[in-house]
Amino acid sequence: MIRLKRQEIEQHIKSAMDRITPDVLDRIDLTTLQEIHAERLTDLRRRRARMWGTAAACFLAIAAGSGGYNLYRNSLVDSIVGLDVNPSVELSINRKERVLKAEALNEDARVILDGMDLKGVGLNVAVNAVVGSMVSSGYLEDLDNTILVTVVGDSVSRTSVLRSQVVADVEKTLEENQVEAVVYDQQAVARDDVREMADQYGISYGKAYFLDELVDQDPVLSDRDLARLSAMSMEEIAREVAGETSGVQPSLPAAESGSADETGEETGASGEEMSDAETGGSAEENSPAAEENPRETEDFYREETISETWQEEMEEGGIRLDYAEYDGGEILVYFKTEVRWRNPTVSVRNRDGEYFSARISETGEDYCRITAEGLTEGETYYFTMGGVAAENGGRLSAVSGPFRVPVISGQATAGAEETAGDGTEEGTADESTAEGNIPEEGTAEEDLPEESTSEANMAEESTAEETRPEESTAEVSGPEESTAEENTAEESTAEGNTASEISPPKLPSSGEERPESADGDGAAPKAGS
Amino acid sequence: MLLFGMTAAVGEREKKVSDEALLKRVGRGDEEAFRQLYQNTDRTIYSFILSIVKNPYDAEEILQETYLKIWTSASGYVGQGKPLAWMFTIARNLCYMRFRDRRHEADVGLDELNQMEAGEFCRQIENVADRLALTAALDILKEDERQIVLLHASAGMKHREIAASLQMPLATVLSKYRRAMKKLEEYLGKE
Repeated sequence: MIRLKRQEIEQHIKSAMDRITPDVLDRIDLTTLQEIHAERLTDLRRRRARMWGTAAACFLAIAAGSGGYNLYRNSLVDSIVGLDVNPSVELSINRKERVLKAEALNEDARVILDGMDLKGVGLNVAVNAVVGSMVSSGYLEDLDNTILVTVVGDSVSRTSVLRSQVVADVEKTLEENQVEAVVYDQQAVARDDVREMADQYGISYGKAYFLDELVDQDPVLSDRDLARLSAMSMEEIAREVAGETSGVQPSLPAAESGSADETGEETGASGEEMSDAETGGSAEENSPAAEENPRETEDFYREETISETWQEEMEEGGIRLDYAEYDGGEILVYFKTEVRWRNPTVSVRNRDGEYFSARISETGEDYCRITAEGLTEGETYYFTMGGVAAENGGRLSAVSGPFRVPVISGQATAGAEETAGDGTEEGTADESTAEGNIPEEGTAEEDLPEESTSEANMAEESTAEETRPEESTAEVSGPEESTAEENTAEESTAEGNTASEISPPKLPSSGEERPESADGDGAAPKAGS
Repeated sequence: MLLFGMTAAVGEREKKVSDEALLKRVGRGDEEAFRQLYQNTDRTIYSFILSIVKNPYDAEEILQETYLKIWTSASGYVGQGKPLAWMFTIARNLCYMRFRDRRHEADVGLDELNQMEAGEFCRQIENVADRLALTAALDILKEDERQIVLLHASAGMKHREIAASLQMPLATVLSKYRRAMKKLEEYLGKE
């Protein structure tokens, strides 16, 4: 169902583009002088080598130069070329692109290589032979059949050149055999962890590298899927990935404590529900004093709310958090805007303000990955990152947001729900621990954008207030239930506010971007980092 | 020599000559090759430019500038098997140069401007569904998501080709594509 819609959408886009794509060819003045560049030496050399390789056929001696040294060097593995379809073949080549070793890594590959002696053969001839054999054995015959080409080598530029070459060779062989297939290619460096993974699952280095990258990037897949994916052919993997729909968030019934307008993006289903929930609560935006009726007496589904409020946009071109998800020991945080990083720092704490060991394992233009330890299933935590700025002209500041560790066993943890108004994350700055902690339970805290001072006066609201990040700083955390289970200790913190100051421990809430955590939870985690 | 000649002959017999080969010829002043290259790639380049500037009028002008630059600097292309990536770089630079000043303005202003003009061109797209789909893609997606979706849907590029041309890992392209399409599905589903 969804698949079909997607195709329809693409067709409409294509059709629209058909109409508006202009033809400007005639407007281009070809009498304009062209720049002259000297012909590159590398092109010449490569062309020559190719010709030679082809003419050489199968029984070439390896050593090109005379003398022991050259002999030695030509017997060193320079790069490894991997070809994966179902069969997995690895060709180790020397610096002259002659095959030193051709290895079959699975049963199908042994069939492919049976009877072939590729030692000393030129790379393109070997590739031609291997791919040709795959075709005649039926592994590459359909349009959907997929082959993964991997080149591993130390020199990035050389590996890149090799990669294009091999891909061209593969495509040429497919053409010659009148077969169309999908060719994926990648280049990699030798990494121990990938090597181990390959050994562990009994797959080629290239496939391991590909899956490693895939699991990294894909929010739905995790290490748990590796065993399953390793056994699949490239085509099956591609199909799975392309056909996936994300279903990351658990779908829980709508929770109350509406967060500020749920746009229901990304987090998916829950978002929709959330919006319903919150309307009840009269979203109080920005008013710290806004009191909301205590909506969340029992926020069983507060987690959803949290995600929702997350999606509130921050205005003013600040850093906008998209969503965060926890998967296999890592927290993946996505931003709506592009960001830059400078000496990023991170801290992770739970609702009680206890901190856990965490570090940033990867940063990107619009995401980052945090590894944290000691987290419990079913609990809600808050991360705070410093040293991040919005791409277009933003100042370095900090971002904070909630995330939940899903329960694998399937039982809801009471604790997780409780957190009063967890939706808001507290940004660092506001919370100087002193601020706004409301000793009492369940009061909603509002964080006012106090800068670094403990102002954080949190109005205790027993009611859930919706805090919208609008407020310049401290966000008003959603109302907390008087039950206030968790957050009590928390201070009213601004949710996910980004402090303008960089000091990681505590950032003054500058009120700029802050993910809206407006949902009802008013719990403000302690900011004092 | 012989090999080279053979390849060329084969190429002509089958589909068109590769873009890479065309580009090399363009570098040597071959006008016919340039026209052929244009025919092969204009859809793709236009999709790419539109995904950055979002405005079809600007996109049209930049399209023209891009191809002119391709003509004048083709001899500087070092054959690495990725002519599109090279062409994209040219297009991207031209986009940024043009909007260098504008980029730092408040987003609001630029969007308003875009919407005004966008409204006009939208009328060119008679089919309502088409118009909605394209406008949605331009409005709600982030730049890299727009790029991937437009290149996939309009230019018909495969994900791996997109990954190569945008110099992104394939897994990233697949993931972003999926997210983008999901956003569109949800957004358009509400209509």
